[in-house]
Amino acid sequence: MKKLLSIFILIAIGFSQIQVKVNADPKTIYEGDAFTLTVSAENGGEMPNVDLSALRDFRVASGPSQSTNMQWINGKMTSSYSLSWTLIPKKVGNLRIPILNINVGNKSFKSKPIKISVLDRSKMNNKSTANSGQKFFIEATVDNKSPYRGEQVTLTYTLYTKTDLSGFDILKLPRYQGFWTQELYSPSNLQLKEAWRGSDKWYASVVKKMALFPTKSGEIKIDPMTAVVGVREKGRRSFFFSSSKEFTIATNELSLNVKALPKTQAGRSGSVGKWNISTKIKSKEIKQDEALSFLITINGEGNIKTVDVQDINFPRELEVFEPEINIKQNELTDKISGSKTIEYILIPRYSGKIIIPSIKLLYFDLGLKKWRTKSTKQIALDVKENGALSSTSIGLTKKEVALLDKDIRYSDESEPNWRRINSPLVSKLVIIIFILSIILYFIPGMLHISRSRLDETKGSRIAKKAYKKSISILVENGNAEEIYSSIHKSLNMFMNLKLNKEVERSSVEIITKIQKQSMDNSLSNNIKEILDRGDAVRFAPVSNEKSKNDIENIKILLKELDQKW
Amino acid sequence: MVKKISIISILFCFAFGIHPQLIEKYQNGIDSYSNGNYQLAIQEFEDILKHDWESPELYYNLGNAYYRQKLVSGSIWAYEKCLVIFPSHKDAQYNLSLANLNVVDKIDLPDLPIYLKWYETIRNYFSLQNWIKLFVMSLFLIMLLMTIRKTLYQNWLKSIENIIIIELIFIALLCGHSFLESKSNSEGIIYSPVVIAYSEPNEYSSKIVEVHEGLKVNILDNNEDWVNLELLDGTIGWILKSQIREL
Repeated sequence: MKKLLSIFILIAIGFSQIQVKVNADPKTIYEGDAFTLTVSAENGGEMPNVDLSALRDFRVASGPSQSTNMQWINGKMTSSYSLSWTLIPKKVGNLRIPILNINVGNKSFKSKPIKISVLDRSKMNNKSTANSGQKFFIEATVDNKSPYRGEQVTLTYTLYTKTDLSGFDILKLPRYQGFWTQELYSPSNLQLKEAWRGSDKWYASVVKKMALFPTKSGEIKIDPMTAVVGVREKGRRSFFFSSSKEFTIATNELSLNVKALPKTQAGRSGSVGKWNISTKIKSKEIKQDEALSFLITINGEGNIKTVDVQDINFPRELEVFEPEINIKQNELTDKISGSKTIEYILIPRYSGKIIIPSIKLLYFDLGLKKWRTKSTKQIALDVKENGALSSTSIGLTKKEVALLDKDIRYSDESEPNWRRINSPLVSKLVIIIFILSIILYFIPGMLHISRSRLDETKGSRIAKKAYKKSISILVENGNAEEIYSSIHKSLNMFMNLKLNKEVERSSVEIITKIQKQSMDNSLSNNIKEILDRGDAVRFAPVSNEKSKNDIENIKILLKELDQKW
Repeated sequence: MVKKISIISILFCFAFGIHPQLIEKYQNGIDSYSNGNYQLAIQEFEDILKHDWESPELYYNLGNAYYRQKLVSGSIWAYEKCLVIFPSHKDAQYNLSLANLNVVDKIDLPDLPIYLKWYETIRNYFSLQNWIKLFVMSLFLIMLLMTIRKTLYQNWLKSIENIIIIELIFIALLCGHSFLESKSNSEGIIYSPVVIAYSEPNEYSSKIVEVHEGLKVNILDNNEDWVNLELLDGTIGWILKSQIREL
């Protein structure tokens, strides 16, 4: 039975003709409104295959959605496969859906072109009734159509409606090519207010606000945004659900003419807006190797995320770490503003005076329409020496690099010390000094010898005179006492001169000395006899003749002694 | 004492006398250097050297002229030469360190232990000739003190004498070391931009190492055309005599 049925169906399809229909609805719309393009194939047995690449004036908002329909009419089966798209025109005027190539199975068909007329929304108020069907639309507006590059442009999407809307959903946001964007406002539900456009009363609600910062100059297009709007349908209200119909709508396309920033000699910068800059440091007096927080604050109006100071050249005495950046943005304002703090951690590696240079912020002032540079005062740090030994190892490899940008020292113009090339290692001067020092070495020895010789000769000279001197003090004419004491004195003097000494000797001492020196007992005995007599003369008188005889004797004895000494 | 030495040596110079024409040449060289004519300055200075007269100032200024003329090897040679005569010439040391930055070859030497570093610093304070002069002077001083002590019986001089004797022994060791070193190896500066050292004194032998201008090397042996050199790291090779300038 089943087999039979399938054969039957095959026959039915085989014999029934394939019909392809292309339909657009509605055919007259406003700019930004959508229409539905349906391609259906009857008796095709499968989905048609449509090439939409020829659609140049329209954008596909959604689709394709597929539907299949099978009917038995009078024992005849009709099948219908259809594809539908939601299309949004790209421009205003009389547009055409071109001839489309449609394939069903192996067969190909060509559709007829369809005319679509798109009306300009701004002229809608002049026409009274023709467009009364227009119940809602979305408008995109910007506050400034010719901004500078980097200047903020506020883009506002506003929904206008005359009917009761059940829902609103943004389907697709454009990509905002050529802009740096930030969302400013996006309400969770519609807040409708009365608004008048011409003579018509509308209810309007801002659905989205964006801050756009153009990143290039020239003409930049903002693509339309598409959204889905739900409209309540009257009269078809059930107990629980209000039924609604969904429409896809799109905004108008906008184009901005972005002005390039004028050239400046002051440097390179992409900052635009109105800015102020300040720096803060906790204490100007710190210790070496102690961390220090250096805070740069930029506040004002403009693209707070991209604003930046000019490159900072910290002195080499400071070790600088990557800065920490914090951005605080003021909320609920149409113009983006706020403050940005850049916190550097600095560690002075040397003591002394270290200067943190002035920080410069170059920006294009939108109020004055020219470049401005704001700068901070430079800060002089007073770095005290660290008690511990400083780690100078940080800069070791830097030494050669530092040398590269120094130059050689200037020429030496002092009077040169000329000398012969290959002059001998040991100069004449050296030899002279060497000889002199050797001579010096022998001087003390030589001095000693000569002096001792001198001393010796002098002594002998005196000794030689000893006999004569000692004879001369002998008293020849006097009493016996005087004569004998002179004999004693003369002997003593003789000995003193001979021995180079000044000593008083007794008679016994004189005798023993003479005995030792002369080794002649008779001589010493003779002298002893005379001396004994001299000692005795004080107690026993001696005749003058005897004393005179003794004088003569002692002279002879002294001579004898002098020869034997 | 150094001043004394230099004063005496100046007197010596006047006694023997450098030719006034050479002094004129020297002045001319200085003037052309300050006028920026470095080529002429080099010519004049080198001419004086050819007449067998030298001075540390001459070598220093010659080095500067070579440096300005961007002849690295010449400037290094002249600065080294200046430091041989006057090892504590601060400006020459500084400029030599700058010139050495331009040398392609960098041979790292191991760091000396600290006591050897001190020793070398002291040894490089004077040239060998000045060390010998210092030795003789202190010998003379000792003899003088000894004579005074012995003739005038000043025994307290004995302690000063002992100190000088210790110093004398130290200087004697220094002189001995420096003397042996100067006898055993002479040094030279590579003069050609790129020099290939061969294993034997001919061009057919195998190439050992490639050195670049400005490098300081030890000269071990001399041949008619070839020089046997030793790099600071110990590599030995032969190069042509024209490619090196002896210090």
